[in-house]
Amino acid sequence: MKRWVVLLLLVCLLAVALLSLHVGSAPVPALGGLLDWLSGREGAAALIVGEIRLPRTLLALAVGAALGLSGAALQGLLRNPLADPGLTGASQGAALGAAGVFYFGLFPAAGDAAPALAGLLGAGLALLLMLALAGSSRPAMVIMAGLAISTLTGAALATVLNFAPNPYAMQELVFWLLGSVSERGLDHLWLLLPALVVGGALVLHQRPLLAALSLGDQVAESLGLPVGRGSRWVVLGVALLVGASVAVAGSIGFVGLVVPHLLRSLVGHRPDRLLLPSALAGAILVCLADICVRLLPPQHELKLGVLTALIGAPLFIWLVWKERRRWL
Amino acid sequence: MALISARNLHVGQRLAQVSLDLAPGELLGVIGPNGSGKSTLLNCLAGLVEVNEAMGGEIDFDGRSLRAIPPRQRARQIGLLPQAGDSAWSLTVGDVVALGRLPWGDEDAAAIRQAMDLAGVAALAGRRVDALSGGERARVWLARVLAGQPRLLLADEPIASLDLHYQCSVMAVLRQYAQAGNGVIVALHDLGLAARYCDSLCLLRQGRVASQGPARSVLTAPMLSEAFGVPIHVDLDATPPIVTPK
Repeated sequence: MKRWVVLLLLVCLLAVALLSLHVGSAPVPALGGLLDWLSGREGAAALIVGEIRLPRTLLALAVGAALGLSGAALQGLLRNPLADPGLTGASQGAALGAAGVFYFGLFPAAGDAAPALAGLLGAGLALLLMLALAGSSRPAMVIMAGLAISTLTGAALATVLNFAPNPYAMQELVFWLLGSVSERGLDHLWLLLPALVVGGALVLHQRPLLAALSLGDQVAESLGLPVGRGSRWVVLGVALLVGASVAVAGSIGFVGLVVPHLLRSLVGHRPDRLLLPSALAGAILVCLADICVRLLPPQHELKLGVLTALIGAPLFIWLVWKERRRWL
Repeated sequence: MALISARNLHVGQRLAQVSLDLAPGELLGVIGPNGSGKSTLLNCLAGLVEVNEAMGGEIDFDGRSLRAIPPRQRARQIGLLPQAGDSAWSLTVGDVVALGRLPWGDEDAAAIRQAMDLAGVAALAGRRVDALSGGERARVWLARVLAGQPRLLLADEPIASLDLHYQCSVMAVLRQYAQAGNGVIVALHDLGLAARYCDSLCLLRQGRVASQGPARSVLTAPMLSEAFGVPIHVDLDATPPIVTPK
């Protein structure tokens, strides 16, 4: 069952990636342009596909994979289908880090990648604070501590916005926060990829723990699994994934919440088997959303994060409705 | 040689001076009022609760100190069936039972099938656990522990909230598992079933051992009446044995 799900998602991912290379304001042959760019031949098609659409596509895929994977991991860890990656406080920490760059000009040497770098640092700091506050990896404590740190970083972000030095800086930050993968180059991908690999490895390594946690902490511990240490690795992995994706692409909501839900019944509800399919489906979803954004008229640019929120919120309401029926 | 032997266990305010031995093939029943330390004792023996070493407490499993056995190896030898199990997700019975193989890192189909047969849940393999009745679910949790083929099975009130048929069937499975050469320790509230199925009993009261030994020496009316605070009628010569409040 799981194998064909992964295979099917891989095929969809390739198709969506090709479509993403094809879609844009200038009609150019996607495959031809990509081959030209790869072989170093010059031309308009090679330039458009290789320098603009390829980074954008890869970035959308990587951000989606990070968000989908982190959502599946966090829901498995907290045993809560409504857990969202933003819960760890990492997203808000990343936003605050990036705001620091826009206002105080941190990391001038990093150039365009400075917001991403600062975002990653912000996510890491928020996470450390959250772990220190939670004291343990008990789901209820992680949620409470995550909420507390999110509120704190949210307040700090509001303060920064309040004292914005000029309206342009504020506008730049707000647009960045809305989430997008456009106007970013491969250097952003190089920031995101290591976080995706390390965070993904940390989470995937804890698959047995996530499976055992289905039956509770006590069972997992009696099965010889290090519940406390393993949970901390998962939280760290999730923070890396979420922090890096927010740092690079701003806030793209609801992907981590909704994607695991859509796939859960296809993998027999097993939290360990949900991870890889969620990463693939997250990548597909964000890339598709980005394609939709590009198809809209250019004078009314819709930000990617706004579109995912517009699609995700009704889905979330539907989930709550479905969950509510279980209890009534 | 004892499969597990505990000496002088102290855990906070919950257990004090508890010692016990269990030989392979033996089914030991732990009885006592609510809050007498039954679950704490089982968690201790499973290696999940730290024993107060300063008070000289120690647990040996198969001649080795339990503390010195790495968690994963320990989990292969000792299986714990906690009180009131539940699954966060709508897993199939087959997937839940397969979780018992986690300490071994395999999905040994033969062991899983054998465990499901023994617990009588083979026919439910494809069903979702949240769609089962309480009695069926209790046997699925038991099958999960049996799938790990532990040499010592610790079951914490496995028959609480089960009907009479399932109470007897779960106790019979535990009896059968012990007879195959394994050790089984079960915490129980039904003293009649304890007398009927267990080789020996350990009566806990306020975290201390009030009495220990064969059913006949532990299940005496004065002893039980004092431990539970109600007058109790005991007739162990009846078939099945009767232990009930007057």
